[in-house]
Formats: sequence, structure tokens, C-alpha cells
Amino acid sequence: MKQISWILAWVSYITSIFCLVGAYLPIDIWKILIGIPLLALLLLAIKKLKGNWPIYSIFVIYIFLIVLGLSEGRSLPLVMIGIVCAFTWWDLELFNRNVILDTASEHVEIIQANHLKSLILVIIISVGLMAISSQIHIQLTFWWIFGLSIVAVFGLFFFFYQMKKN
Amino acid sequence: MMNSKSLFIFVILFGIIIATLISRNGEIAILTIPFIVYLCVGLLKFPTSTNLRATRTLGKNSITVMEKGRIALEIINEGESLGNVHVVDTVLPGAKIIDGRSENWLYLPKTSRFKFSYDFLAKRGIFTWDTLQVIVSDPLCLFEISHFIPAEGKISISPTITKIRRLPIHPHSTLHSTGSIRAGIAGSGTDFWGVREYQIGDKLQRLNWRLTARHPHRLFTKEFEQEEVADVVLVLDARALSDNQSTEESLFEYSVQATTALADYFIKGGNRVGLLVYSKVIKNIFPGYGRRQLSNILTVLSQVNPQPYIPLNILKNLPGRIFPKNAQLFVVSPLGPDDEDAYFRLRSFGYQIYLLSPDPLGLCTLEKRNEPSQKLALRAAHLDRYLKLQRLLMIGVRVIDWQMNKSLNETLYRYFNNTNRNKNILENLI
Repeated sequence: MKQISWILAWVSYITSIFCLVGAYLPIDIWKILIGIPLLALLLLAIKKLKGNWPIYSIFVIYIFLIVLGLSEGRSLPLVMIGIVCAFTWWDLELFNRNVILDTASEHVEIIQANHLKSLILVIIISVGLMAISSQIHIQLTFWWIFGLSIVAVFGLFFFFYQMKKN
Repeated sequence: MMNSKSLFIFVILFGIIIATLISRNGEIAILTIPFIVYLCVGLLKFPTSTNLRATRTLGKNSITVMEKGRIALEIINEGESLGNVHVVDTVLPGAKIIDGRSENWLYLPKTSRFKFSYDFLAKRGIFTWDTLQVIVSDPLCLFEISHFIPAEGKISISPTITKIRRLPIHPHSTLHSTGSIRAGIAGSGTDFWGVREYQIGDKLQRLNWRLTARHPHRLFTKEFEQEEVADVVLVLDARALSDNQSTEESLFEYSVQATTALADYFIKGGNRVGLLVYSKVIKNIFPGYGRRQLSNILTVLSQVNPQPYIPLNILKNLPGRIFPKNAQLFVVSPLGPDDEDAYFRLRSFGYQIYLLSPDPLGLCTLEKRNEPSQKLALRAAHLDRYLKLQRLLMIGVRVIDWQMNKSLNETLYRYFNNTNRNKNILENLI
């Protein structure tokens, strides 16, 4: 049972890398040639070093490459699958390192099952919402986008403040 | 409530929104969806209330440094089901866990309990626990609340007791009660003392038949040396100078071990033993007998730590109740720079003093011992120590120079079986 998380994490990681390469492949392959070795290097660091920073770093680099690709008009479905897979890998890798490796009790399998159920729920809802969102094509002026962004940022800060307060 | 993971999600969300604004590309905003869903699921699955209790059970309340300690923890959930509970127990400073874990991830269904334990080896000291940290989080480990649940416990870790084989001290006076220290008077001991003419009432088994045969019509009785108990006061030097910080081994720990061994030896021999820990804060235990006294001494020795340096002169003002008249003083000290005057004083009051002096130079790690300058420095330090010890010998202090490459038993055996005891200091110098 413990192995499932590791296998899922690896499958997610490899899929996300394929999606990234696939999105970039027709043109601008040189950008990926910079990003992929960096991701591989950090992946080695995960095995060698203690702490979670290499996992966070890989995820940040991946998101950066995805955002860069989208801004240059790369394939949206590939990017969407890529981000969900990378996100799954990031979550499972953190969970495996911090919980599974750290636990000797018989409860580990129940905790793992609960975690996987919640993660699958997140993935299903996210993919569904992303698919619906990708079908919406509304042209907005800059000021509309700006206004919505401000609302989103304030919303985030409000949520953050509430969390801290509690 | 938020941890580094959820904070990271917020930062990513913020970054994606800014990127959307800069690039004026709505498709980038789609990337926020998994993160928002992730936060929402985490928040929805977060337990609304907790009702936890914990108990801590110690295998033994008092152990020695080399002994394995065991802590068993039980968590009782009296509230709703908790999917992700991280229990973290405070590990004793310097302790090493040898079996089990001090922290655990648990799943606690409604009204359930869970037990786990761990074994450890710890350093000397008295330690207390008041609480147990329990972190309750959602299944995705995004939001968490830390609770400190009362779970009290106290453990005393005393120094290891080294068994001393034989320590034949000869105090000027003893207490008139049967013990193991030779009193210097004829009595009912085991060591031969002399022969005298038979008196009515003497046991026949004590007759010296050989002498009686040589002198017809006269009877002679063998006499044995009376063995009694004595007043022994142990003085442990706990000033910072007695702790050599240059190596992993602590000179002070050797001193504490020696004091423990001496206390054990003398108390088990039936003597009245007191303890004085000499440091900035003086701790003392008035002389007493028995296992309870040994336990009190061990408790004090468990807690002592090296303190800032103060001169030894203050000893002369201590009340007589701590140092009973004619008590045998056993000082465990590496010898400070201005200690000689205090020993002069104590000798002038009539105390007999044994100075067990662990050699601080024995633990000194000079990396380039072969270099002439280092060699010379080490020799000068040895000479200085030798001269100090010689001066103490001249005023009648019995100096036992403890080289750190020899065990306490070996040092004491060599000292008490050497006819020329002063020789041992010179031997060490050479």
C-alpha cells in the first residue's frame, strides 16, 4: 500500500514532463532544454538532501515554464494536464517524505488512503472546472481584467487573514 | 492554522494572478483552479473540534546514564473522528532514541485510543514533561492546529555507579559503631593487631597457641584491629575550570562519576557521608547514613553542572555541621589556580584530606603534539600541576593524581597499594 503513493508520484512526474515537452516541442525546444536539466538536477537533490525545498523549487520552475508556454500560445489541454500532474506529484512527494517515511504506526495506510481520496477529489473537480473554463471565450478589456485581478488578490489576502486569525 | 504548504499555495496563486495581469492572457488564470480547489477541499475536511487527552507512563522514574529509559504515551480521542493527527513528544536534551519514535502520525476514530512508546539513552539530569504536542490537520495537511495536552512525567537520570573494589582510608578518628574502616585500636575486626596476655572472658578461639607453647603456664590472646564507621564528606569541585571543553569527553563528567562511586562505596560501608558541591551556588547534603542518603546524593549529582569560577577560599567559612570535626574529606577537583590556601586552612582545622585530582591535561587534544612548541607548552603545564600537587603533599594533603587514560579503580588501587604514594605524581609527570 505504501508503494502506491511513490508509484503515483513518479507516474505524475513523468506525465507532467511529457506534457511540458509536448507543449513546447514544435517550436522553442531550446527553452525546454534549459528547464529539463534543472528539473532533473533538483530531482537528484530530493534524494540526496534533507528538507522540502527541492520539491518546492521543482514545482515553482515547472509552473514558471507552464506560464511562459501559455503566454506564448502553447496547447492549453497539454498544459492543463501537465499542471494537474505536476501538482499531484508535488503533493504526493511531500506527503511521502513527511508522513509515510516518518510513521511507524499501523495507521499509515488509513492516513494514506484518506489523503489519496481527497487528492483524487481535488483532481477530478479541478480537471472538470478547467475543462469548462477553457470553453469560455469572453473578450475583456484590460480594466476588467485588472479589476478582477484586484478582487482576486484582495480575496486571497482576506482568506489568508481569516486563516491566520483562526 | 496555516502551514508552509498552504502558504506556498497562496504565493503561487498570487504569482499566477500577477502573470495573468502582465500577459493579459485569460488562459493563465485557468491554472489557479487546481490550487483553489485544493485549498477548499482542505478547509472543508478540516476537523471542527477536538477533544483529546494524553497520559505518559515512564518505565522507571529513576535510571542511570547507561540505562535505557522507556516512555509510553497514550492518546485518547473523546471527540469526533480525526483523520490526521501528528503527535510530537519533546525529546530530552542530548538524548538518543534507540527504539521506537518520539513522534507519530495517527488516525483516531471517534472515542478511540492509541498507545506508542520509545526507548532512549539520555544524559545526566532531572527532566520533567508537562505537555504533549498534538497537531491536528486535514487529510491534505494544509491547515493545522497545534494542541499542547497535559501529559506530565518526571525522570531522574543519575550518573553511573562505578563499583570501587577497596579504599583503605585511615581517618584520625572514627565513630564508635561497627563498620569497615580500621579504627587504629584493638577490637573485633579481621586484621591482625597484636598479642596480649589472656584475660578471663577472652574467647578460646582467639588464643595464640604458638606463643602459649613457648611460655609454659601463661596464655596469650590475639587481638584484631577494630573496624568502625567514619564521617566522610565528599567535595565535588563544580567550577567551570573543572570542565575541559576542548574535547567531546568532559572532565567534569569524570569528576561526577568519581564522586558517585565514592558516595556509593562509603555509604555501603556503613559510613556517615555528606556531600558538598562547590560552585557559585553551593549545594550540600548534611552527613547521613543509608540508602536514602545515597539516593539524595545521587539526586544532587544528577543535576550539577559546571558553574563560573570562584575561589575556593569560601570553604573556610562553612559551618561545622557540613564538615563534622575530624571528618575525612574527599575532594574531587582538578585543582584551580588559587586553591592551595583553602587546603592550608582546612588542614589547619585538623581535617584529613584526600584530593582525587583528574588531570585536565589528559583530555587536552593538542592537534600538533609533536611540534616542539606544543610539546614544550604541555610539559610546562604538567610541571605547573606537579608543583601545585607537591605543595599540597607537603602540607599533608593526600593527593591521588588521576590520569584520564586510567580507570578510577586502577588509579585508586595503584595509590593505595603503593608504599611510596608520592611517587605516583612524579611517575605521571615523567
